[in-house]
Amino acid sequence: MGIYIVKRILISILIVFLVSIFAKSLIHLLPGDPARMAMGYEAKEEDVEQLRIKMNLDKPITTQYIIWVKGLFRGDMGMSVLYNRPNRDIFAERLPRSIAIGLPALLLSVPFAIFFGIISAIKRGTLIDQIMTFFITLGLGTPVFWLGILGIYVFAIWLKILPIQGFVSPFADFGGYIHKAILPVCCMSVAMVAGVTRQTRTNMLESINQDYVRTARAYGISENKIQFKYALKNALIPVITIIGLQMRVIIGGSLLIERVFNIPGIGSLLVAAINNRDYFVIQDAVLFISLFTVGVNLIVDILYGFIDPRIRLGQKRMV
Amino acid sequence: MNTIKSEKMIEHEIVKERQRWQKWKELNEKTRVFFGRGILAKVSFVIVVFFIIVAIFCPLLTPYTPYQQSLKDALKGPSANHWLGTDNLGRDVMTRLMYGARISIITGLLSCFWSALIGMTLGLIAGYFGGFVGGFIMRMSDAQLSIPPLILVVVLAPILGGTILGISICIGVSAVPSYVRMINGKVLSLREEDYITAASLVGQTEAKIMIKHLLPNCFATLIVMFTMSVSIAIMIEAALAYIGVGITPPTPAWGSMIADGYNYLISHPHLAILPGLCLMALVVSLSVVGDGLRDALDPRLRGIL
Repeated sequence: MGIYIVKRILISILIVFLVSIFAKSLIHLLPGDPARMAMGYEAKEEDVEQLRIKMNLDKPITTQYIIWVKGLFRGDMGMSVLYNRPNRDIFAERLPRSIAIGLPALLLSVPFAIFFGIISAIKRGTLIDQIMTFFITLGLGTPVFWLGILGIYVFAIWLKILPIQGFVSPFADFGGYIHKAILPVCCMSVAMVAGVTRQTRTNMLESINQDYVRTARAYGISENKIQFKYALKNALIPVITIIGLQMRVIIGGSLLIERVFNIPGIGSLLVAAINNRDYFVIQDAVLFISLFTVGVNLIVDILYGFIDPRIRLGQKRMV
Repeated sequence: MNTIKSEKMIEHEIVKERQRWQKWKELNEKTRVFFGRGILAKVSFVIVVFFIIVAIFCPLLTPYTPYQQSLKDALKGPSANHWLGTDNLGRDVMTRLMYGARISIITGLLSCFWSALIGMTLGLIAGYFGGFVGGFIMRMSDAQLSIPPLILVVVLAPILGGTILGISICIGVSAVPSYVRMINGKVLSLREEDYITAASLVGQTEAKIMIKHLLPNCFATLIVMFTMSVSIAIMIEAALAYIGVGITPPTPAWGSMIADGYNYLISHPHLAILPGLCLMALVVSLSVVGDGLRDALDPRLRGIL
């Protein structure tokens, strides 16, 4: 087990290292000059040159990379050109807002999705299963930003029961938060419910076909007990992995949902940074997002190793 | 002598006929599986064909171009001249929707072409050679997977600019890791087959083994992955255009039509809602068609893809 954990941690560090190189090289790949972008097009060339030196842009890329990483270890994430504030403050201010939308969506969708997935697998081939499969396909194929707009039209403009846009912190005004966050959270949940339902259904079907289920049947154990006690237990293990994978959906979705509902979170920060070529925010955001997903996956892998001995013994490779 | 020859010929004919029959039966069976998934599969197939026809023939189907503005007709409702009304610049909404289908389908196909090409090459190399090269390729794709695809595309999109080619390359690159993993896994299992050992024993070069023996055996998987990822690519393209880093306006991309229409949601909701409906119809039907193709061509992929 110890070797397994150390191996996973080393691979995670390698991945974050590779992503950090990519994030830093973006500054050279993306068109436009960061210093010029910051000063505006009317600025004098000497002033721009001075800022360039201040931003360390005159140094070779490897030196820039080392300066950046050193700063990160000291907790200094650099300055945003667009907001003219330290990135650390911007991230600290915006991250809770993204979490306030993403986390409820995750917590809300997973129980429903597992329930739907089990029903759909047990009733395989029946009308209920077909209806659910249809809704899964529909849920995965609906563009989340369009769903948000549709929701705004129906609930805010037509029925006038919800506000159009905006965000209130749950700690400042919980009622107002619920009122404003319910629509974005629901929109984000749709794709997640569909994805997790499909996965649970597949897992459940797989474990229903396992040898131990057949053996249990041969012993004459009742069908209900087989399905809920033996099959379900094994089908639920991969759900941890699925929740880990859903982090990608949440982060990607926050990019779109935050734009539709005008929520000043990490997603809208990244979009603003891209549109304004705010390189120092882009590189930090990319590294930060990757660090987050890698961290979640690491925790998932380790948990998985504890729960399922086949994984840490290397008999079964998880996707 | 003569009779023997003719008997052989007859035998040959019979074998050939039987093979032809077998092939036809296989095709028939595949079509049956494909359409045997109920009414949903049939409807989806019709919708996909409909969008493709519209995308190909859109210049013939409408008297307008998607760029033709007429400010005095701006934001009009449906009429005999403009069946679905006009947008804020007086452009015909239906024309733009039709050309939008063209943009979506071309971008979707092109980006899947890139990811299939790059992913297949890397997956073949990683699977066949293994060792350091294979490990390096797999770690690189792990690293890429740690960034959600949409984030990666949003970051890469400005590098290549807002043309169909540039955007399709970005979307294509973002989907490479899943192809690499799939093909790598497939090759790893194929490598143990006897015919590969035999081929290397008779002295065939590694490149020849990869292209002539491994590649054709990966094709079914590749086709299924391709169909399944077209719908995802179309979705990402629309999301990019919605955010404003995708194909640059005034090119009629559905995503940017939704973003433009959002500003007029209170007075003219159809401007934002119609392109989204088209997008949803196309994406959902494509994924149902992809599911059908998977069941027909490579049922073992069920549950993985």
